[in-house]
Amino acid sequence: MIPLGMDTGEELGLFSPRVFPRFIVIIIAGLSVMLCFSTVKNRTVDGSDSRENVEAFINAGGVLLVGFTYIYLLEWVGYYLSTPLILFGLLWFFGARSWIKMIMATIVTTAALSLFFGKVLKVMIPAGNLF
Amino acid sequence: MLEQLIMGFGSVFSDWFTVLLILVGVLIGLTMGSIPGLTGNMAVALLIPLTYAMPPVAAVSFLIAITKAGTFGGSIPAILINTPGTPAATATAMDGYELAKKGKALKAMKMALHASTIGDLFSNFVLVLVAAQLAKVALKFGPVERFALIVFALTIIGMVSGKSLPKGLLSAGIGLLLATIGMDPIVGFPRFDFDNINLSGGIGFVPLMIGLFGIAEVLKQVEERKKPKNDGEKIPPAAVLSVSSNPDDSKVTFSELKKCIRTIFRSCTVGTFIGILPGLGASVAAWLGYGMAQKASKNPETFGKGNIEGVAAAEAANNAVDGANLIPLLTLGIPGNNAAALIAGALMIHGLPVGPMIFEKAGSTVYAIFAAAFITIAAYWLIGLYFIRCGVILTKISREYLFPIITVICVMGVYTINTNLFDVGVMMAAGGLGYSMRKFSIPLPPLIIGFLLGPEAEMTLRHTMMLSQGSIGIFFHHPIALIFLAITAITVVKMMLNKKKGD
Repeated sequence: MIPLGMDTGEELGLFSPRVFPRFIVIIIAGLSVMLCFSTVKNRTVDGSDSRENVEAFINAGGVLLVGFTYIYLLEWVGYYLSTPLILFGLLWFFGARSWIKMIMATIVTTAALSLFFGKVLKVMIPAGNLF
Repeated sequence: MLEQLIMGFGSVFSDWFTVLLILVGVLIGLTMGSIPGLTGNMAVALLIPLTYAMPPVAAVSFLIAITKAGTFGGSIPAILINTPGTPAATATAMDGYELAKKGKALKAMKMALHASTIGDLFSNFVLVLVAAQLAKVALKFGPVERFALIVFALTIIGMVSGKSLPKGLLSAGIGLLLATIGMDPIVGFPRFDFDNINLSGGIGFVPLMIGLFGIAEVLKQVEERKKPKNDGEKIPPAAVLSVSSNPDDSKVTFSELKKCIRTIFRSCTVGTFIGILPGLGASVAAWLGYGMAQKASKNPETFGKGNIEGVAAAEAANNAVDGANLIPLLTLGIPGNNAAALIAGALMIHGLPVGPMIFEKAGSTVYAIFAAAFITIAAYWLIGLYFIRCGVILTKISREYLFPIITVICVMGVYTINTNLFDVGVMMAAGGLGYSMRKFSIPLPPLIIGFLLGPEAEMTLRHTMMLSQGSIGIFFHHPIALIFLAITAITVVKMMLNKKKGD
């Protein structure tokens, strides 16, 4: 990966930009192998922990997917349409069930952030490429 | 000098506009610092144009107030929601959040405030009394000495790695590798940018930090959300943080402060020293202060689990940088960090020279600015005592509302840095990395330390090797570097012996 990640510089020898990353990668590789051996040696027979872990990773992966979807929607649809949608979805996912509170929280948060970042800090709020 | 300082106090207090600007600056700094993604430096950069028409003392005092208050402000979300508001508060989150989970959020924030105030006062006194002499020390630090200092700083990795040193080293290695993304610091070749222009400048520390701490915490909270057994069942509000009913848990007792005073003064010294050296910054000072406190503690295993000394050490060190980074600016004309660079800009805009000539050409102005710095510290201590109570409102919000809203705030905060959604993507990816590291019990602090120190370590090493044509004998010709390397070797041997004893 290092030769692919850097076009040139080998001719500089010890002062090459590849030396430091290469040195770090060698150390990481060595430590990773050591930790793999240690993990295999100390692994538990009971699989219940691993089932819970898999479920946790799937849930976390779901939230991350929502996060990346939010980024995509911000770029294409804009802040004012995507934020209420995503925020409402996250509230529901985290267990909120009172529709009135969820709608109020969504509207207040979207408006407050828009005012603070757009009007006070004068940041260009994403408007979306489609509009 | 004392007379000039007293006259400085007189000139500040005689102008109500300057005092008002200091108070407003403190409020702005606290607010900006406590929102993840925004920093006091950002506020300074945005508000410099407003200061064009102001008198010089008022203008610079306003900006200094924002910077100082912003540094402390970052500790509030770090303690309450494990999301540092500023890069300098990452070490504060380690113990601050654990204390908040035990119902001691106010205690942690008050200790952070007291330690920040003491750190700032310490470095300001140093600035006023011995700035010129300390600047000469800074001049003796070339690339050889800086590399040796960074190698010493990297030994903190061993202290904050917890039970598994190999996992700590792995984490540090990941941080060092992430820091190599972007342009090579010496010859400018692109590294690991995969032809993506967004990566040519490297990964931003703020998106990385908010992802590793804030988003990772949101992902952790996903595990703990309650699901209704059927659609009709109401979910009881589950506050993330409770406030303890014991009144002692909402204040810092005199005995606790006394217990931490040695740690605070050690961190003040570390922060002041780091602040004098341009380029290292408050984040490095905070971690160095934290690591040294852990090393010196009788119960180092309690750090990272809610030890109030950890909060005190980190905050004293990071705020001590604020006063000290004006030392190279005023004595040598070299800004110590971004905040000092912005203040240098403000000084030049108002026709004040940057460097030692400022004392000759505008001595009374300089001492008025010093006086304003002391007034700022008093102001942010007083205002901070009430401001942190507003943060406690977060303890009353239930998890299912708090964390989705935090997620959106983090997205907007990070987007604001460069108005670039790529940074938000970096934050999300870092969140996944941070969460995975927690699940596999790989400690996070070494990654942060590796990321912060890696670029400087590489640059100074390569400069050193260029100076010596590849020979390591150069270290033997630089006594300061040799001393740091010797201390590093002793520290490493002691650490290994302690670990062997513990096993």
